Amino acid sequence: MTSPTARALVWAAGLLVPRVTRPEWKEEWDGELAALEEARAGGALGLPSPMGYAFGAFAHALWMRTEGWTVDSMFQDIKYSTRVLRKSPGFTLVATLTLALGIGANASIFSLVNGVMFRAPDQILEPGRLVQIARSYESAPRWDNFSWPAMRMIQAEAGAFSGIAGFSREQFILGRGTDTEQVVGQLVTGNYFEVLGVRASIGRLLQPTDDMTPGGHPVVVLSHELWHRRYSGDPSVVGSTIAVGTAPYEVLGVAPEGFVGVENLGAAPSMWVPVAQHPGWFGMSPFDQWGWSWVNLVGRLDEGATFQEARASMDVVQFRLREAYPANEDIEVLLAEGIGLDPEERTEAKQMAFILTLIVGVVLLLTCTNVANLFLARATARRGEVGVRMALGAGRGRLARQTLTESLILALLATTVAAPIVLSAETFLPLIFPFGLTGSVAPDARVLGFLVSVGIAAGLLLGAVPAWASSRRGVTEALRDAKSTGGRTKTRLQDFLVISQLGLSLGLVAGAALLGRSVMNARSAQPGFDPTGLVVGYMDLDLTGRYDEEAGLDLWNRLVTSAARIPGVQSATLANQTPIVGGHSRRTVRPAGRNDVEFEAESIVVGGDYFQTLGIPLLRGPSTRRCVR
Amino acid sequence: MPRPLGNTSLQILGAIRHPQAYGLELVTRTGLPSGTIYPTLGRLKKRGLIRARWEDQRVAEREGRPRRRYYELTEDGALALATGASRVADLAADLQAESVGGAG
Repeated sequence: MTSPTARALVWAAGLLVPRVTRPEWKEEWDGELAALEEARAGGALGLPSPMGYAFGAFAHALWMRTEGWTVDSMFQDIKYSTRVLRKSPGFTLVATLTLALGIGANASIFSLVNGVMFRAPDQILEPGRLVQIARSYESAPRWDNFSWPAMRMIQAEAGAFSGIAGFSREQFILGRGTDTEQVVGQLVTGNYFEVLGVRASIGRLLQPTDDMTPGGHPVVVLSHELWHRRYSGDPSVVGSTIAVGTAPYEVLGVAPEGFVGVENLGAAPSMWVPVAQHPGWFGMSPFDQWGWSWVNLVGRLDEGATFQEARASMDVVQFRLREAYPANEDIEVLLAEGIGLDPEERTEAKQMAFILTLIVGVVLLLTCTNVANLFLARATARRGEVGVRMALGAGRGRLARQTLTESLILALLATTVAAPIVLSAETFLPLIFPFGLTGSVAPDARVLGFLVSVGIAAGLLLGAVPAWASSRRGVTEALRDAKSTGGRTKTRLQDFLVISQLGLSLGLVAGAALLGRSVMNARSAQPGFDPTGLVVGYMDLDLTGRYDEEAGLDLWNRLVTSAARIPGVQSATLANQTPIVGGHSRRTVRPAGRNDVEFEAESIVVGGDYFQTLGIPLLRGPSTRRCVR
Repeated sequence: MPRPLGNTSLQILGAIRHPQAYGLELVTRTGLPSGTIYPTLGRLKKRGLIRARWEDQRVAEREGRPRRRYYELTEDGALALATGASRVADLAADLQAESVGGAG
C-alpha cells in the first residue's frame, strides 16, 4: 500500500507538469512509488522514505514545466510582473501582508517544532552518537530512570559504549541571607561532560576524579547564563568559593554558552555538581538503594559501534539486573538513539506538532485562497489587457506563466516581510507556549530553508488557480470578455474560492471554540479533591541545610498549627507533593508479613488532616488521623 | 562539439548500462536523490543519450503492480559514457601520478 501522503505529493507535483505529458508522468511516478513500497515491504536496505522520494517528483515536475524557458523570457516576465504590482500598490500591500501572516505563522511554528523535536541540544559533540538508556518492565512498560546500583552495573557490563554518564535534576540554594537564590541544577557523574564531549568556557569541567568519595567533592560548574546573570561574567569566579546550601563549594569552571544538558524540555540547569555530593534521603545514602530510582543515563557509542550492537549488549545487562534484585524480575533496559526528547516525550511532541502544523497549515491555505481571490478579481479588471496580449500572439501557457511569476514575486515579498517575525520567534514563542523549553527555538538553516520553501509553495498555490483560469480561454473569448461583465468560469472560480474561505474559516473558528470549551471543561473537571478555597505554599527545608530531622519536624508542626489558627482557615496540612502539579515518586512496597511479593507504588508523604483539608473522601478507615509527631 | 557530461550524468549512464533500469533502481544504484535522477534522465533523453521504454502491460499485470518505465542507453549514450569514463580515468591517472611524484 502506497503512503497516501506521498501519493498526494505526487498528485500535487503533477499539476505543474504540462497537460500533454501529465498522464505518462503520473503513471511513471505511481509505478515508482509502488516499486518503492514493495521494496521496503521486502526489507530491502538503503531505500529512501516514500515522502522523501515523492519530493523528487516536484523537482521533476518543475524541470518539465520550465524546460525550454529562456533566461530572457523569464527576465521579461519578472520585469513585467514587477511593473504590474507597482502599479497597484494597495493590492500589493494587502496581498503581501496577508501572505506574510500565513507564511510567518507556519515558519514560526516550524521553528518551535524544530527546536523541540529535530534539534539536538547545543554544544554537544556528535549528538547523533549519544544514546538514552532507560528502565522499563515487561509487566508495566514505561520510560524511567535507574537506581545507583543499577547504573553501576550497566556502566560495568554494557558493551559498544565509550562511556555512560548519569545525571539527576536537583534544586540548589545559592548564596546567603538576602542574596539567596533557588536554582535548578544537576547532580552528574564525573564523566558526564567527557561523555557529552563538552568543553569549558572558562576554567575546567567536572572529571571522574571529582566524583569519587560521597560528600568529599564540594565543587561546582556554573552555566554560562548563571555566570553572566549572577556573577556579571567575571572570570575571577573560577577558583572562588560560593555558598551552595550551607556548604562552601569551589567553582571549577563555566560551561559553554548555550549548553543546557541533553534535554530539550524542562528548566535549563544553572549548575552541575558531582553526584558524590548527593545529600541522601531521610538520612540514607542513595548509593546502595536498589529500590530508589533517580539517575537518568546517557551513553556515547564506541567509535565504529552501531546502535544495534549497543542494543544487543543490553541483553546481558538486563539478565544481570534481573538476577541482582528481586523487584527487577521482569526489568527491561530500553535504548533510544539521539538526545533531546525521550520516546514518550517524542510521541507527545509529535501529536502536538501535528495539531499546530494543521492549524497554521489551514491559516496558510486560507491566506492563499484569499489572495488568489484578489488575483481573480483583479484579473477581471485586466481582461482587456489580456485579450490584447493574446491577440498580439501571447500563448495561453505564457500568460499562465506570467500570472505564476506575479504570485511568486508576491510570495517572495511576503517571505521577506515574514522573515523578521520568524527571526524573533525565539523571543515570542516561549510567551505563547509557556512550557519549559530548554532547547533553542532560534531559527537555524533548517528553519530558514522551511521559510523559503513555504514561501515558494504559497506562491505556486495561490498562483495556480488564476494561472489555470487565464490559460483556459482562447483569444476570441478573451477579447469578448474584455467588454463583458466577466467570464462565467472566473465567477464560478471566485465563488468556489469564497466558499472554500468560508469553509476553512468556519473550521478554524469551530476548532477554536472546541478548544475553548475543552479549557472550560478542564477548569470545571473533578480532580478527585475539592479545590475550592485551597491555598498552597511551598517550602524546602533540606535546601537550607539548617534543620535536622527533629528541628525540621518541629518547625513543620508549628507552621501547620499556626496556619490552622488563622481566622477563616478550616484546616491545614502538609504534603511533600501537591496534587496535579506536584509530580510523584515511587517506592517499593511489600505487604506486611510477606517477603515474596514486592511492587512499586506511586507515593506521597502527607501530614495529618490531609484528606480532610483537600476534601478527599476515604473509602475505608478514619477520615482524619494525626500522624505527624 | 557537445558539452562533456558531468559526474551525475556519467553516474546515471553507468547505472543504466546493465542493460536497462527504472527510476528507483537508479536511485538505489547511484545513491542520488530522486529529485536529481529524474530531471537528469529528462536531459539525457533530450540529448538522445538514452531512450525510455514502457514495460509490457501484461508483465506488470502478472506481477500485480503498475507498469514501469525503463531507460536504456542509445548508441550515442554508450559512446558518451565510454568517452566520459576514459576522461575520468585519465584524470584519476594524472592525480595518481602527481601524488606518487609528490610523495617521492
